[in-house]
Amino acid sequence: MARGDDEFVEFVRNSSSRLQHAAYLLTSDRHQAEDAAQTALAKTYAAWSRVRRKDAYAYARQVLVNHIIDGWRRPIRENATEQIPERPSGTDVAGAVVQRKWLLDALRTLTDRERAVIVLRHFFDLKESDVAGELGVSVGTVKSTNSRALTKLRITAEDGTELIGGLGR
Amino acid sequence: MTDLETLRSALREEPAEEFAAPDIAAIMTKGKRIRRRRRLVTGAGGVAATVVTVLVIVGAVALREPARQPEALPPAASASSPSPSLSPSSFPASTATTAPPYPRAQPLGDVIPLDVEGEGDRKMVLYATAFDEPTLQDIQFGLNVAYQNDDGTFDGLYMTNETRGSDRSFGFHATGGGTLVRNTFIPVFGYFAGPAVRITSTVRGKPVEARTAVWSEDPSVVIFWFEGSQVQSSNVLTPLTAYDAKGQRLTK
Repeated sequence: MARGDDEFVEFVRNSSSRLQHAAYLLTSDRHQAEDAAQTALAKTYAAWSRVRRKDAYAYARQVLVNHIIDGWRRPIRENATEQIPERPSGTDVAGAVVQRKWLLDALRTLTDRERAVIVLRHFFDLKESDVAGELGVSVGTVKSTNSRALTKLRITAEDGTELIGGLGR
Repeated sequence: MTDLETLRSALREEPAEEFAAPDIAAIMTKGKRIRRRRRLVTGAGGVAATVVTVLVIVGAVALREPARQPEALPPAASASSPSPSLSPSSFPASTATTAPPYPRAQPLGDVIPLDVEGEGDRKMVLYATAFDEPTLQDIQFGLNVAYQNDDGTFDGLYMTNETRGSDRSFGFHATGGGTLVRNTFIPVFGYFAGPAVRITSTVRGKPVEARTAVWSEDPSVVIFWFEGSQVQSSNVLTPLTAYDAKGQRLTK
């Protein structure tokens, strides 16, 4: 093994699960998510000597998101619907599986950029300025995109009565 | 719990089924390939780049015209050799015919000027090169942005290629660029497989049109690029749209 390979193996063990999870949120496809994470990690390994002493995880995350966005730009795309799926009633019984399905269905209603902003901002917990940097857009664009996406998801940022998925409207 | 906290909690909830464990050996193998390719394209220093250029051009001449002698090489190839041990006569045509050492760097088809000048007033160009990856049998070429030296050789800056499926399947492929390499801005570029005569997108609501060139090696492939003054990054583009000669939209 070359110098730094042990560190890389450790890095993969620590980060792959979260990268796969993020990719799954971005693609809604398990196999595509695993492939995307694998590609991001390979590209990270290709640059390992350069990034290992910096923030390797941030590098891998950025590669992952860009890789998925590049895929979105191809003409074969999902047909996003304007209608957000209604949250099934009785969620206390339905449990996590239903919530997960709702979440993935709801994410599908977002545009590519909205979805990327939601994942970067609320899954990775990045600051708006960092999201802007990763997507190559202005902070204002991130703010407005985030706001629009949350509105589509029927989520209020403040304490409110509206629930994720609405009230069964 | 606020709605936002609920969303964040839902986002972070582990999927019911665990993801497959990453194949670390495959990741490292693929990473090494990517690293080698990047080094080849960006050049690991002037000497290495020139050596590669010599090897490639010798191989190219040998492949196309195996009967010709090394003296028939373009002047640039022999003149730029950095080392006496790597003179053209060191590489007999028969050797190159069976195994050209660096086929990827050999331009396939016409070299397209991008009307941009950079380091040392050299012209930036775009061209295709062969792509040889055993695990990607249906991908046989990629695109390169490079500086063209006065002696006809190329100083590679950026390479991109399709990574899934076939390189000639209908639609857009290998879109890349829109980034800085060695303090040089690489335009957003790529290619469309299909009868496109016009390729457009929008940047912040403003329509932009790519410049296009039919690939001389395969007229069904249309190479495109956006001027840097119009498109600073592929991230700002909306999905690309292609139109045929009748103005009909080819993509959704």
